[in-house]
This record gives sequence, structure tokens and C-alpha cells, in this order.
Amino acid sequence: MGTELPVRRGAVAFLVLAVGGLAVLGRLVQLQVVEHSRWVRAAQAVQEDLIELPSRRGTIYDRNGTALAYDVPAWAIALDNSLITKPELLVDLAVRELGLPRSEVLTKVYREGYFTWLDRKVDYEAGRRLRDRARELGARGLLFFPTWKRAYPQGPLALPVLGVVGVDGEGLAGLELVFDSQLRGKPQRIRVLRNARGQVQDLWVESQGVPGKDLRLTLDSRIQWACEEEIEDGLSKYAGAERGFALMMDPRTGEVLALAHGPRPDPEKPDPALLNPWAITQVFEPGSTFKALTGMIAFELGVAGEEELFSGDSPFVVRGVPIKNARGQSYGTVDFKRAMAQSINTVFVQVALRVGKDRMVEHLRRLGFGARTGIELPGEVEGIVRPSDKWTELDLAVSSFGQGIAVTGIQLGTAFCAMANGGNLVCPRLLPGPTEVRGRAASPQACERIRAVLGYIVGLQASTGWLAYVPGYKVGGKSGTAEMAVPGRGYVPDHVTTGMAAFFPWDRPEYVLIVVYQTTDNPEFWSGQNAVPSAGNIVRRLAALGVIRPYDKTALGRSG
Amino acid sequence: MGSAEGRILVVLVFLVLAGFLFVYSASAPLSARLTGDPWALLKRQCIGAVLGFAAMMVLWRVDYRVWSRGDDLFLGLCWFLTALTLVPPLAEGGRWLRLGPFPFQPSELGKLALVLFLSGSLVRRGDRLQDWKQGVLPHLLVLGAFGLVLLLQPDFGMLVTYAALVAVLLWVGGVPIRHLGVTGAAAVPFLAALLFGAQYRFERLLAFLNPELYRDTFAYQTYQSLMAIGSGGILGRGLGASRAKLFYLPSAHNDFLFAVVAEETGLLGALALMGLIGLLVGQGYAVSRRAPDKLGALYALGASFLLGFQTVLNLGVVVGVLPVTGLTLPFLSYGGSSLMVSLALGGLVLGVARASRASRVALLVPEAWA
Repeated sequence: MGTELPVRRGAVAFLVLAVGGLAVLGRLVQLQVVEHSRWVRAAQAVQEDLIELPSRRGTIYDRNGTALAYDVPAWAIALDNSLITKPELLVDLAVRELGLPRSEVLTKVYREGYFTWLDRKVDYEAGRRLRDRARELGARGLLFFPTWKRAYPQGPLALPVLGVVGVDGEGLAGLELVFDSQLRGKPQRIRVLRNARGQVQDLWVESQGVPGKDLRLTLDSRIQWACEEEIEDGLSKYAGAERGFALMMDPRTGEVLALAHGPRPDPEKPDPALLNPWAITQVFEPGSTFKALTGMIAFELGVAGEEELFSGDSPFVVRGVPIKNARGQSYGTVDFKRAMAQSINTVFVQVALRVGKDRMVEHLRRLGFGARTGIELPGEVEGIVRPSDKWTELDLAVSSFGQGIAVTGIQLGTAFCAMANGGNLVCPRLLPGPTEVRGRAASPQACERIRAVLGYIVGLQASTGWLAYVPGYKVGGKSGTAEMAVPGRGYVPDHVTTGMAAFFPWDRPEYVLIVVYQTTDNPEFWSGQNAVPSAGNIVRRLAALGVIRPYDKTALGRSG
Repeated sequence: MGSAEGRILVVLVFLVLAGFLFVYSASAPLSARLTGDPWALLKRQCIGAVLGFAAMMVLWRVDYRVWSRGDDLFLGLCWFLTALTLVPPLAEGGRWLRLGPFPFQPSELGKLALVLFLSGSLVRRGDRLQDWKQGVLPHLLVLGAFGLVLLLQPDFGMLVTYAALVAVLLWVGGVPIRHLGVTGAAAVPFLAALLFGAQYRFERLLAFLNPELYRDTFAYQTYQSLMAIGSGGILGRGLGASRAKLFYLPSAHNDFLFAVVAEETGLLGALALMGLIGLLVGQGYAVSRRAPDKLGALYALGASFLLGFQTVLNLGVVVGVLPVTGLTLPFLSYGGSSLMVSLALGGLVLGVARASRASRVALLVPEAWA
């Protein structure tokens, strides 16, 4: 053609361009093929958020199918601060509809950023009202996420046992904590695509949630209710009573039918201290309720008999230390049953000395003291039973009436279950399942004999347990009053634990009932005035509710 | 249309349409935010396309030899307009002149002027090119005059483009290789001084060397671009599904449009696009080889080299193998001046192609297109 160009020169220029193009191509392959997943992750980290919406949490039922805690629909409400059009209106609305403090709402609304939780547990209706009002008034910037809120149809019933859940629907205490993974299910995961200015561009469900599984308990809400009402009553009735619990178990299976703590927490705003199931998590010295167990051990070992005579004089001196009866009273010569009825310390000291340190500690351990029971609640403690080689004669002597050792309420209940079922140390449980026996605590004969004694004394007007007598229900049991030891102060006269450990009917027990009260400002706090009548009242309440029926119709004519 | 013209025309139309598609996708969030209308920037781009196709038609249909007359005046005018961008009341953003409602970038038009002028000048000088003072010096002075203004704007990328165009046209136009070598070697310290003399250029160099380290500062744009491209994978996120355009990647609709293309359509889309531009440039080179005269050959070669060079430079920046410069991707990036001039350059190639075909078939077939 007519060109006089150096053709090769042009080719070189375009070859350079082609090389440049190939370099770009290589780079594209590197970025888009080799490093692809890395860049996807990097982009995701910058551009996306993950929102987890909790799925409906499982319902907690009592043994009869009564719901104790379930999830109801609610709203989690957030602010998209970049979209807010009418901040003053929004503040007014939030204060009025959600009942939030104005100062809190103000700081949240006038905050920099694009996402601020306003309130994560808004009642369904309140949230709907807020949404409708905001729409009407044209106040933009509110984000509504459907969520769930724990509701307690029975009010505070068994709340320290159930525990509570947090804002993310996670169990924080009690059974809600222990069975969290089962109750919680899987949350719905939502991906949110944001632009660089923080505004939401798109959102999609990444994985569907799976609702939580329900939980059925051994608790019987009627019994639980009766126990809680009685403890609340007791706390208001008995001078100085500050807190108390009532534990009811089926001795044959170890099932916990009721575990009532008072004062009761408010389910809307629970006080953490009141949520503590201290019948599990704290120890106390059981005091004279322990005489029942000392007696059972003595029967088991054959070192005492029901009719055997003892000196009831006070004081009884052990290794130079005088041990007195309550109020320093002397009783002369008494038989074992009367010593039990009148709770005569000096007699049980003599019985304990016959048992001996080693055998005493061994039998206490067989009864489950000094070890966790394994009940399905967090924070259980094991109590204190020191090894026998650390014991003095005096330790042995006072252990007979429940001093110098520390037990939990559930341990005491489990020990009395063994007494009630013929010697099996069952595992206490809050969830139904096959009965588990941890070991043998005593022979059926010893159990039967001590139950007869305890049944006899409750029916005796002159006994400390008389006020637990309910005609026809054959209550047996033993009461106790113990000063509390306070670190650095020793036993403090106005710090008192009172208790009643009972079962009925005493010949073939179906229920074990432990009632405990504590005071820190009443030196005249006696079990006979509070724990014992409370135990009787609980039996009466159960009778009135129709949960139990009289076992001995011939006794119904007797005056109570 | 089996001819070179037909192929070029089809490619140009495809490129402009692809540009519409991706400019719309990449600019919709920005348009919506700025004007409330997601189509706003695309509408302006359409105006650029209409004017560009008009220019293309003129350059195609009019005998290209006409353009060598007055090409020095045209170049002078372009220089003057470019210099005007340094006058604050007329300027917009350093590189643009305010022309009614539309900003106009005279340095873009300068590319066309430079192709016309250099080619014309090289043809006019003929054998005198063997003399350094005749062959290199005048053209170097022209480049220097533009370079001064471009550095003051500042638009380093455009200067590099101009320099490459000058070098290639002188080289292909017949200037002795040693002249070019010496001149190029002399330019190296000058370029180094430029690079390290301006803080922003030095920062861009740092960013280029280590995007990961400076990803929140100097290299933010490059890093976002790499993220967009890399996350696109082989098949892409899908048309319209770019995330970089959601204000993560600055200039997503103009200088960094290719990142959005690669994010939305993946490696395949990116390759297709590069293939189209490669086809255009290759056709341009072929046209240049078949040109009826030296002027036409230089026109076609200069125009297609310019398009190819600017594409490689832009893609190099976007994929992070070159430091960031403010160059558009021809035909595709948002920007009326760029689109118009790119189409005009395409038109120039078409004009040469038409003339070469006419010179071959004129005796046999009547002009079918006239």
C-alpha cells in the first residue's frame, strides 16, 4: 500500500499493549480464581452484618402439663440513626409507648451511627402501637425485629428453680441455664448488606431457626404453689423470719415435687439474690432435725431402742465440756421416744457416744451428707462433714443434734427420703426419668422403727412436732432449731435456723417435706412456732387442694 | 458487514451499550443520593454518547486528509482550553471547564488534537525527521507545553498518556531510534522528580506497593477495587449486584468502573470486555497497515494505540498493578468528554478504513454507503 511506515515499529507498540493486557489478565485470574474466597470473606467482613433472631424457646411445664415459663411474641426495636426524620417525635413516642427514661432515649436517638438497640424486649402490643403511631406521624428510623419474650403464666412460681433468660434468650440461671442448649434451639440467622454509609441495602435469611425443645419437670405446680404461699405467709407471720424454703419430694423416686423459696422474686425484674435456690446452693446447720437421723443410725447399729431409758438431766459433760438441753431443762429418766418428742440433747449425746466417731461419719456419708446430690441445678454445694479422724468426742457429741456439720436443704430432703423409702439413697431430680439409687443408707427395719417413733411424736401434744399434726394424714417428723455460726463471731443467739423434716403417711411415706426458716434478729426464734406449724399448714393446703387424701379416716374424729 | 468498518462499528456500539449498562449499575446509588433519580448520571452519559456518535460519523464520512489542515490551530485551541482549567472561576475540579450545564474536560479533546497534529506534522516533515531538532524537539516542546498544564491540574495519568502517544507516533513515524532513546533516558530523572515531588503521588506509590498495609488510608480505593474484583469470582455476583458501588469504592462509575464489571460479571465478563477493546485496537492496527497513505496510517495507529494504551493503564490501576491515576476506561467509564473523544477516535479509525476500502474498490463498485 501507500504507506512508508516502518511496519515492525507499529507492531512493537501494539505488542507492548498486548503484554500489558496479558498482565491484567493474569492479575484477574489471581484475584478472581486463586484468591477468590479470600476476597469474598474480606468483602463479607466489611459489607455484611449477621443478625441472629432467637427462635422460640422451649416451654417449661410442670409434671401435669401446666406451663411455668413460655415464650410469647415480642419486638426488638432498634434505631437506624441515619434514617431518623423526626427525632423529637421519636423521643416522645419511645418514652410514651415503651416507658423508657427520656434521658436514655435522647442519648440513643442523637447518637452517631446507624444502628442502636432501643429496647429488645417490647411487648407485642406495645410494639405494634409504637409502629402504627410512628407510621401515622411519619417518624422514620425505627427498625422492628420480631423476637420472643419469656412469660411466666404462673407468676413467680418456682422462679429460683426455673431461672431466667437474658436479652438474647440465653438461660442465665436455674434450669434455663442448665438446659439452655435444649431449650434454646437454633436462632434464625439474617444477613444484612450495608452500604458504606451504614444504610441497610438488603437482608436475607441465611439459615432458618429451629425452635427449642420443651422441658417437663417433676414439679407439681399445685404443691409448689401451696409451699410458696405458706412460706410467704410464714415470712409475714413469724417475727424475724427473713427467708425460708419448703422442699417436697417423692421419697420413692427422688422426684422433687416442690421447691419453694421465699421471699419470691418479681418475674418482671427479678432480684438476683431472690433467684438463688439456696436450698441447693447454701448450707446450714440442721440442728435437732438431725436427731431423727442419729436415732435411725442407733437403731441400725442396735445401740439404742425405742423404750430404752436414758438420763435426761442437763448438763451432760463430755471431756470437761457441759452440754445443755434447750433452756437448760432437766428431764430426769426418760425413754428414747420421749427424748425424741421433747428433743432432749443430753440423751442423744449419749446415743452418739455409743455410735462412735467412725461409724457416725460413715453413716452420715451413707445418708449423702458431704457430697453433692447431683440435682439438675447449678451451684450445688457439697456441705461439710469432716473426716472422723479430725473429730473430737465433743464433735461427735454435738453432731447428734445437728451441730458441727453443714448440710443443704436437698441433702436433708434426700436423707429423709432414704428414711421414708426403707433405706435407698435416691438421686433427687427435677426432670422425670428412671429412679436412680446411689446407695443404701439404712436397713428397712431401722427406717421403719424410726418412722414409727417420729410418727408417734408428731401425734403427741407434749412434743415439739405437735403443730405439724394434721388429723388423718399421719405426719411423722422432727423439728430443730439451731443458732447460726457467723465467721469471726461463733454462734450468734439472734441468728437462727429453724426446720421441720417430715414425711407422710409415716408408715408408708409418699411425701417428704422439709421446711426451713432463717432469721438474723430474733433470739427467740423456735421451730415449734414457725417451721413446724408451716409444715402442718402445707399438708392442710394440699388436702384442701385435693392433692392428697386422708390416709387414716379413723383419726379424723380426733381434735387437731 | 464483513469489512473492518462493520466490525469496528459493531464493537463500538457494543462497548457503548455495555458502558450504559455498567454506568447505570455503578452510578445508580450515587445518582439516587445526589439527585433522587437513579438514572440521572446515565442520562447525562447518553448525551455524551449522542454527541460522540455524531463526531464519529463526521470523522468517518469526511475524508480524513481534511483534518491535517489546521491541526496545529486545533491543538493550540485545545491547549488554551486546557490551560483555562487553571483559572479558578472557569474550572471545575481542576480538570474540567464549566460549559453550560455540562463540565467539559479539554485534555480529553487534546488527545484527538494530538493524534491529528503529530501525524500531520510527521508527514509534513518527511525526511527532516532524521534531524533531532526537526524530528523530536518541536514535538517534545508541544508535549512540554501540555505537560506543564497537566501537572498543574494535576493529571499525571493524562500526561503519561500524552507522552506515550508522542513516543509511539514519533517512533512509528520514522524518527531515528537513538533520538528517542536519548530523549527517553533524559526523561527518567524528570519523571522520578515528579513522582516524589508531589505528596499524593508518593502516597499512591506506597499504596500501590502495599495495598494491604494502607488499606484504610492511601490504598483504600485500590483495596476496595481488589475486593470487588476478587469477590466477583469467575461468574460474578450478577448484573446489578455490585456491592463496591454502594459507596465502598470511590469513582466506581468512572475510573474504577471495570472493578464493578469484574464484580458483577466475574472473570468471564471482564475477559469479554477486554476482548472487545482488544478487537477494536487490533482492527485499528490492521486499518493502519492498510491505510492509503502515511497520514492515514498514523491517524489509525495513533487513535487505536491511544485507546489501547489508556485501557491498559486504566485496567492496570483497577487491578492494582499500577499506581492510581485518574484515567477513564475508554467508551465505558462515566464521563461525557471521555466518551465523546473515544468515539471520535473510533471515528478517525473508521474514516481511514473507509478511505482505504474506497481506494481499492472505487473502480469496481459504486460507493455503497455514501
